[in-house]
Amino acid sequence: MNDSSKIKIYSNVPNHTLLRLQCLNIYCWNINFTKGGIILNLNSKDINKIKKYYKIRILELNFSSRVKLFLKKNYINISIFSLAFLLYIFFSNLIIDVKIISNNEEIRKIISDSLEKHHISHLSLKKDYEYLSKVKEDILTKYKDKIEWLEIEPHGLTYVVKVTEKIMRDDEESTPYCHIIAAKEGIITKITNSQGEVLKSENSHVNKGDIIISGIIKAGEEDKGYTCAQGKVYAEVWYTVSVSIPLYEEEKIYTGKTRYNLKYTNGNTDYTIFKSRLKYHDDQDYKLISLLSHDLSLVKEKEYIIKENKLSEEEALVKANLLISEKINLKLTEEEKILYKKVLKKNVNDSTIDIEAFVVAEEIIGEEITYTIPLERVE
Amino acid sequence: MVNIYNNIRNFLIDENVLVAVFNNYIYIYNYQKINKLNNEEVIIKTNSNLVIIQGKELKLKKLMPSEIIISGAPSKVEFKNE
Repeated sequence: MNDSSKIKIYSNVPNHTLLRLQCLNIYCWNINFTKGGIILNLNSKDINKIKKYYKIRILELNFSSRVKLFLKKNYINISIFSLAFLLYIFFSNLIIDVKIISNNEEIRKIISDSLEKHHISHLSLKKDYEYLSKVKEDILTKYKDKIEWLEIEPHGLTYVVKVTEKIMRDDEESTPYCHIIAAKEGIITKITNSQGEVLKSENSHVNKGDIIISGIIKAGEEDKGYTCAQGKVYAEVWYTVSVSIPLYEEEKIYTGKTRYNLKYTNGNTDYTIFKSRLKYHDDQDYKLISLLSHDLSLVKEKEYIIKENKLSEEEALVKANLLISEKINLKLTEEEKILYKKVLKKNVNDSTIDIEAFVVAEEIIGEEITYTIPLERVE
Repeated sequence: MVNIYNNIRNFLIDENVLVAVFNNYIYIYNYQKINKLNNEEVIIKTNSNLVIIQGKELKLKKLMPSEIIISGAPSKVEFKNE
């Protein structure tokens, strides 16, 4: 009687009820007559038969019946919860994107194809650590002449693949015979050489292409040795720079007025939900919901106005001076500097001022150029 | 021979009816059907006859496929051919 339950049957004629149970082939034990009915034990499977004829109350249920009853009462909640749990498991094991971090398109293609062959691609399932290690090893073995190092890192729903490309040293580039020549016209200010023969002295004028430090060591007219000349050649070089400075300058002034808006982002496209009431505004985003590539953000719009200021000629000249320095400095390295600046021509228009300036800078003008040894000298 | 046949048949089929009367309850084995049931009288049909139980406060305590227990104060148990 493991599957037994205790119930109360509501009946005013208990003996008649028991005879009815006999007719229905329902058997029972521990029968007790109480006010308004009878309490008895019976097989749980018979409860539904009795329910058709009598009102009953279940007093005790065995474990399996209790489980069945619970499942029956809560099947909607249980189904929803189970489905949500399954979806959670599914999505947490899904790869929605594979990002390959490399500047080389060929490497990116190689990695992408290899990963796809190993079933690591967009909308595939995540792989375990052992599998990823095996994939890495396979790719590194297959492309050992192109890839130095590879790492596949899971970041949320994406895999980030970091690659270091193998740089093959080109033997042709490392030819040992070279001269240092002038890359541009100028007056030499300083030469520091560690190898080769210096042909030009300080304060001498050089044209573009002149050899300054030779890789051929000569004794009189005879070549005594061949080497790759090494050294730095500093020289004064000249520039004429033209700049145009607007006399009117726009200034952005924040009014302190802010408005809030909502923004929906789908991939790289933004949609502002409400029309903005501010003419000019800077936006600050606070992400509210982010699901896959769909985002909903709260946007704080800060209003500003644009004020126009007119510059005086002196102010414009200061600005022009700075701009000229910036322009020249863009071409210079840390070891190079501007020596002198002079305004050659100044033209004031209605809205701009045009300036042409002469600039002298000290630059490294030495450039390495390779040469070949004459055939008769090759042993 | 008839006796041996009856013994084997009884052993295999188990059709003997057992009625045990105690002070406050009656046990019946191998019954067929309860014909009548109230506080003063219970009539039970077996394969060979009717068992008529009379008394006070008679109540069914157990109802199983081949056995029943009736509690109460039985005053008379009568076997009657159908």
